[in-house]
Amino acid sequence: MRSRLAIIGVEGWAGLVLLCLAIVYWLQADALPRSALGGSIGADGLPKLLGVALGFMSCLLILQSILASPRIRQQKRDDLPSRTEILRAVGFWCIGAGFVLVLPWAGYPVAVAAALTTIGMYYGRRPSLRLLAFAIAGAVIFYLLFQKLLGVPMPQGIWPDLFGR
Amino acid sequence: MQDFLYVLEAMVSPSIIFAAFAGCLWGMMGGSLPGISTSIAMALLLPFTFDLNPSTAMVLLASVYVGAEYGGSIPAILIRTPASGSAAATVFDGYEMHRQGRSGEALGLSLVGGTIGGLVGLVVLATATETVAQLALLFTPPAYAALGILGISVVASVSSGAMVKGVIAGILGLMIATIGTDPISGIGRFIYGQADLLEGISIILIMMGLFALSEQMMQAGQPDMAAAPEARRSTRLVLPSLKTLWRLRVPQVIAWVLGLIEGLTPGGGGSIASFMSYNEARRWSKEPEKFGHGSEEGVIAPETANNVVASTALIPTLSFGIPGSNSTAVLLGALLIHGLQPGPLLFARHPEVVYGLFGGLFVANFAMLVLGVILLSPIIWLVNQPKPYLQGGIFILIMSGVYSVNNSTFDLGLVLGIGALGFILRALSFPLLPMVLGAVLGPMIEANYRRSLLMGGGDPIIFLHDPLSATLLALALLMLVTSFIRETRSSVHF
Repeated sequence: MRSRLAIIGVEGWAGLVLLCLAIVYWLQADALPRSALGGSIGADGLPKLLGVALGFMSCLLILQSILASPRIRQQKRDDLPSRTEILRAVGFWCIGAGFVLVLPWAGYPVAVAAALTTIGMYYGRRPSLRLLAFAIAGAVIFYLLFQKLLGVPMPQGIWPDLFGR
Repeated sequence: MQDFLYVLEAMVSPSIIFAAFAGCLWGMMGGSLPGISTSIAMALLLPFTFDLNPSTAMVLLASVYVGAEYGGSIPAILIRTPASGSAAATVFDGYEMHRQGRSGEALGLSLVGGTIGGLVGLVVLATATETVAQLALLFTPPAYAALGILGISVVASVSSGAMVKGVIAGILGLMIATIGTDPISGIGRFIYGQADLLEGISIILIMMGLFALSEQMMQAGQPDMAAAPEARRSTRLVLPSLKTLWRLRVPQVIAWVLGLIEGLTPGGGGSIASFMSYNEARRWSKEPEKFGHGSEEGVIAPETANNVVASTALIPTLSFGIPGSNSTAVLLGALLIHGLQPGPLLFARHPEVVYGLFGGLFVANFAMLVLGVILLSPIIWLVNQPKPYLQGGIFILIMSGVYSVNNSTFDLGLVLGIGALGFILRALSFPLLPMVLGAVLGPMIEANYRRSLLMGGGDPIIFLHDPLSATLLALALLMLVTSFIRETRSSVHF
């Protein structure tokens, strides 16, 4: 695996993935239904052109990568984020995904406070009254700004139903 | 002479001055919140204008526009989150300056450059509205499509050492723009049964994901997790000296010219002007290598351009009743609500409103400078708080802004996906700017591409028959080919 990566380079692999994407995108565009309203060009006109263009550019990227000097190829491999950096980024993304999942039923203020606490802890803060106060204050400020001042109907969660009963 | 008196009268009228300051403050606030676009900030204020006289109402809304165009640069510089498309080009050098502890300097450049740009645009607006509007008529559908392609090509070709990746990113942006209902045939494209995708993916979601969320993921991987940002030492606004402004005259003049042209072009808008200005400033710069690493020219060029557009975009709106953007469409709506019909007759029948608006805009630009000086230092202080608090606050700001676009939790999931894509592309050193520009220009390019082919009976030769289109396409090709040859020569080992 490592020798293959060395031959084609990181960018060559990226080019291969993009080439596959171009083919799939073109096929999906070709499968779009035709409509008499679409005129002679149709809804698939530009997408097909883009599919071809992406395919062509992906091939250029692969070619560039194969022809690149070993020094440049090594430099590009070194520029990639480390495993730890990737894992921490994925961890942050998971906190974001958790916020999106929790928001509809926990409601905006609670979800915001929970997210602020979690992110604070993820960045190395220990659970403390200060962190809790920051989370509650943040939730109140964001709620007042978006819900009250700007009139954005943020998710209320299960609380109105609970208290309504 | 009478027209000039209307302008002066507006500039000393207490109600106009109040409207200009209030509108500007609201605009700066709305413009700096991701998801609350300029047009939304204006629309939120629209109901409050019903009881005002037409002049005050127009000044209030136009001041929101001016303030919001500037406000978008604040999060772009401080948290790498452009709140609007026109602030996206500011991210690269503005945020770099912030990382280098030069936040106050970047915001000062943006504020003063924007104010001067706004005033330049205003002078053009007031003196040459009817004459220069004729320029827009030169643009045919093939020329519009070619202009969009040139825009993406320019950005891709200057992506340092990564032209092929830049073009690929531009194509990916155009692909994202094709998602949603086809505006001509009504067919849903690439939506896979998701009703939330019928209207396509809002550009604000793309920018939030690619720029802001991917940056948060990058930041999460940094080892100095508990530390404050590097910029902690810089907590106050630094206005540029006259000497600095003179040194930066070339990018400013470039931005004035491009801002003027784009403002006149319906559909052009601040986004294209700021992207083009950024790239032209880099091309003409004596220190192009500094771009992307905290260049002053890289901040002042796009910020000047989008503020020029804030004034000049009113030219086609007032002269022809053609709004060039969502924001000017709101302004057009307000004109109609007040019984004012845009067009050449507006100048003859209601000069007090038109010239009063010009006077009010002058006050608004002044208000922007004053409010900027007062408000920016506390904002810089806020952004220089330790990472554990700052990153949480930024994350919630992004998510709340994204939610407020369509009140949809689906959008939150979408932005997380785009954020992950942005992280992968950044890790592989793909430039993100062409991708955003592709997504911004996609609808305009496609509409004009199809219109052109319909005009030409399906024959693409129409793009070469139109002289303006042929010139623009030839320029695009020339840039890409020369850039590709240069890039390949520097990396290939024979």
